[in-house]
Amino acid sequence: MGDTYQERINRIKTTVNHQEPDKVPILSMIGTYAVHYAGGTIQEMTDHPEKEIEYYCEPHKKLYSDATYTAGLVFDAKSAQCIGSDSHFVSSDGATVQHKEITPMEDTEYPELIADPEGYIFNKMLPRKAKKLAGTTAEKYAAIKELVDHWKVKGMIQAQLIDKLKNDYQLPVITGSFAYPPLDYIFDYLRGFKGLSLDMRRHKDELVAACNAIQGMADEFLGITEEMTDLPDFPFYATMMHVPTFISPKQFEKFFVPTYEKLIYRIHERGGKLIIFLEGSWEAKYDWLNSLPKNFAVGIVEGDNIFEAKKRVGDNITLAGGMPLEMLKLGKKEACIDYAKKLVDELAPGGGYIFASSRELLSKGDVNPENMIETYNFVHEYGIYK
Amino acid sequence: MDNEKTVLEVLEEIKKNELAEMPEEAANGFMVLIKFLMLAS
Repeated sequence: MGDTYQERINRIKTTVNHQEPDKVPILSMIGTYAVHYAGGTIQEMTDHPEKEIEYYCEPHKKLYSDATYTAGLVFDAKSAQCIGSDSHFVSSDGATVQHKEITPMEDTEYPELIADPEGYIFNKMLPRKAKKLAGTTAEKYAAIKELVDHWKVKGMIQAQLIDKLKNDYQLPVITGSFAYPPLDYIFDYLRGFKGLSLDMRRHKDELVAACNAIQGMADEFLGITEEMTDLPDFPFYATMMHVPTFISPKQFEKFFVPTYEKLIYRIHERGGKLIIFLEGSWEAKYDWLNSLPKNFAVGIVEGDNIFEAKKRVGDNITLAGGMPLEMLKLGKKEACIDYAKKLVDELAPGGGYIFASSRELLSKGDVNPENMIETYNFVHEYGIYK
Repeated sequence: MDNEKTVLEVLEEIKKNELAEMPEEAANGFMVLIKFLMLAS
């Protein structure tokens, strides 16, 4: 386990350029599993923010990886509570956070969203779901101040966590910022699954115009200003793809791609890289993955056959994933290692592959920890390029 | 309620009052994070 922080980053950067590094890089995606693994709870983390550092370091004491997906918990239930929303809540197990779909926008409100996206979203839509933002000026102020105070502490804690992972575990965090697709804003926070499904048929032009209208906000959240002419090629910008798996290739091309591409090409033009969580099945959208600039993106394969994906998109993008959670949870250690060997043997030659689980870990029962530790350590020892 | 400030107006006030100790660029970045968290909550 003597690999340095920089050696691990180099390993990832090399494979993303479709060249063979010294070893097959390994990505850990431990999510709220870290809280379970450390024997903690979300409430304890809320009451004692420094616990986030302890919890999110604990799995790395035994688990080898060359990078971890994110540092700490972003969508904690506390942030939603501050503004009076119940969009995120702690599960009965005490250590997992769930998202509840809230769709406060009516389909008749597209003209308002298009005319003034920020004004509509913050002044009209948000007070519908966040009760404390519907009150007096003083009540709104108190709610937002509570959120600001919470994140002044949490932001500092997460920075300390990144430092500790670097200094004590030589472990980089692969995600530096997020590239959130405009259509996913509408899907996730405004119209939801049912509403968007109808809008793609009944409000096509308005939906396209709404995506264009919120492009500015998406750019702002991306955080790349015009003055930023060069971006580092590590860490990466991350996108968790939500709506694409539910829509047809035609709908994807019409509603999703145009504004999302504007967003990600801002990254590419400045030398940055992208890591996209390919949630669900992406086979019908492989042409789009092949249309991306070569060596620009890493795709974390969730629902597709990764061996087939390697043949069809693996020359253009780097693939991450492949290790089935079900096997890590229920399989015998030998079976896990045999499967990991197959992944390395078939996917690693030529670079362009990062070993990882097929899904992010969220709860205690997602894996047998011993299987995971042994398998990841095996890949680190076996996956040597000669 | 007509005289009450909007959420965006309150956000401006918060930035001015609560983030006064931060450099301008850091305060802007922090407020972008806060706005994103509000939208996502």
